[in-house]
Amino acid sequence: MVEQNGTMATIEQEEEVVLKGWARWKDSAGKAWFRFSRNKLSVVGLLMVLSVVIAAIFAEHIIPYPEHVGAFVDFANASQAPSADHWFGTDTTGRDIFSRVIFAYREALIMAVLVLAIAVPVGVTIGLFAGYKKGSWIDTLLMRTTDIFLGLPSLILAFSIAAVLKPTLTNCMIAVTLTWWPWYARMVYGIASSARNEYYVIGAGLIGAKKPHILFKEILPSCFSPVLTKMALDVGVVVLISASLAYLGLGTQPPAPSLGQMISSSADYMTRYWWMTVYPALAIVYLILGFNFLGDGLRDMLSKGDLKYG
Amino acid sequence: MSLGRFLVRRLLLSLLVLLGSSIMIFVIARIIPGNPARLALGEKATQEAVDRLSEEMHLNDPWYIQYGYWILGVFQGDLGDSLNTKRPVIDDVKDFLPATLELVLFSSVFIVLFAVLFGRIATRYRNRWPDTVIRVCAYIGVAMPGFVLATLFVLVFGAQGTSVSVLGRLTTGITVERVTGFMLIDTLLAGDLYAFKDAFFHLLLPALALACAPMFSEARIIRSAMLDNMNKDYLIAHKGYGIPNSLVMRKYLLKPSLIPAISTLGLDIAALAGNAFLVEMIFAWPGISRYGTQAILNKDLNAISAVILIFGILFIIINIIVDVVVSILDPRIRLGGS
Repeated sequence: MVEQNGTMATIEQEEEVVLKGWARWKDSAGKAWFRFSRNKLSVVGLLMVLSVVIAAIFAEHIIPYPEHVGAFVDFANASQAPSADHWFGTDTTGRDIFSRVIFAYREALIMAVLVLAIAVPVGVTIGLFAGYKKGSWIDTLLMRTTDIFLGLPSLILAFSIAAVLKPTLTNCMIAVTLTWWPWYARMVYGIASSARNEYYVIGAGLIGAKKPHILFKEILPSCFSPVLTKMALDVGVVVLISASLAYLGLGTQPPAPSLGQMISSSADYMTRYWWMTVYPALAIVYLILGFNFLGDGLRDMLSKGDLKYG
Repeated sequence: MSLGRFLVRRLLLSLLVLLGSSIMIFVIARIIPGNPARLALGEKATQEAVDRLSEEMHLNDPWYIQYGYWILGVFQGDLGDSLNTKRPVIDDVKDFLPATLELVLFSSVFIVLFAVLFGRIATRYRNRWPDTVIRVCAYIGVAMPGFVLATLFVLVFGAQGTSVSVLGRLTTGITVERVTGFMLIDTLLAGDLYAFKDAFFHLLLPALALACAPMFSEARIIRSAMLDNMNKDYLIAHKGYGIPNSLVMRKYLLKPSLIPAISTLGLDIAALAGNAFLVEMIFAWPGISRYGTQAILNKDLNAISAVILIFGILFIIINIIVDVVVSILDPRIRLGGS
């Protein structure tokens, strides 16, 4: 149905050129959805991401055992295999693993959102300025600094920063953020430094547009779609890195649940109690897969070029 | 621009980046709250001893002078003493680095060989089941953290009461004289084929755990590049000349299609080095990453800075190699000169 609406809208637009307000919005949304949903995996990804986000937001109301999220001990029910009462089984102190996984999703998503909320604006602004001022000392200063950050493997950098700070969620976040902005700076730099020579940018300068207008109203919009696509893919990578940090004990501290730490603390019992490791691991895979499918779909949706069929 | 000039330019730029990185490493190692001298001596040391060590470590000077002393030491091969092992860090590095290099090199070989193989298979059988299997593996590889895969490997292959043989570099009881520190080479030098086999099988699993994810995503990159190039005019012309299809595929299609894959290989190997931190711990692999992890957990500053510095240098060397290989494969990149 929706796909049909999309095609209809495309035809309509050719007949009557000017659409206003709601109709125009509906038209472009229909087209976007058409491009997005051509690949069924993108829709699957969207559903996966939505399920994770909803579960994370309403965690308290969804999980069967809210009290198991903290330091809870019930040795009578310790190390139970998955059952109707405990979908993912229980851990060595009798806590429901399903409840803890859902709660850990919330932490993972908060971390990813905050990291990107800081790293993306910083990286984009730096890339934008350096790209627009290509060849000047501002360009050299900003991009060489970026190179230095990119010159060290980001996981190792994050490990070290997290190591010298106290191991908390906030510091873990600081560590990941510090390693994240350079990628956006590098990407936007490439777009901005080629956009500055486009006629619409030169033209805007000629008719007297101020610099902020040129930077944010003329050049920035062309960075929108690659940045958005990269953000969707990066949520998965940030979750992966924070899980690795937590695995080493450099992230959230127990008893608060986090996926990486749940895996590391249960790995020793894996031969006997496989569910303690396997379900948190599957939870990570589910989340990252969802964001990857979504990212691919966004790329299809936002790419200006021809639609690739099949 | 000739290859020589390209290389010199690239080296100079890398040196600059490395110098900047060293400042950053120094800053990271110094933002730790508390007095490093106090940390080194422990809680029980007298204030007098702490003051003396502070003076020795130049902690009372401004930061740029401290940095000067540190970088001078680095150039002389003096990375300070490790709090953890109570030895000079440089000796620890000499002991542990070859194991990691062996692991990273071995898994890089895996990545390259299998990426090319799978990439060609996926192109040849595109949109049929081998292509789908590789696509699914690539998606899972992206989503599966390296430490999970490593844990699974230890579990699956170490399950039948043989768990010990999976861990470490050699089965306990086998000793090999250390010459290069590379176990595969050392065992061959000693002429001990049994030990060589043992070392090889110990290397296999951690290397695979590291290589699995990048292997499949590289295969996907090669596949899409090969499909893009397939309809280019020069390729159609080659076929028109009557060159056998297999030769066209191997010689004229594969070579240009490797360029995007090799460009991302540098990043992949960097990610590999990061993942090695966890994989070495899980496989009890006595390498620099495991040493680094212990240093990180014990807040052993000199060791931490040394480990980051070494990985920074490794990363830069890998990137230079990647740039050179790409510029040989595609001279336009070199001649464009940006």
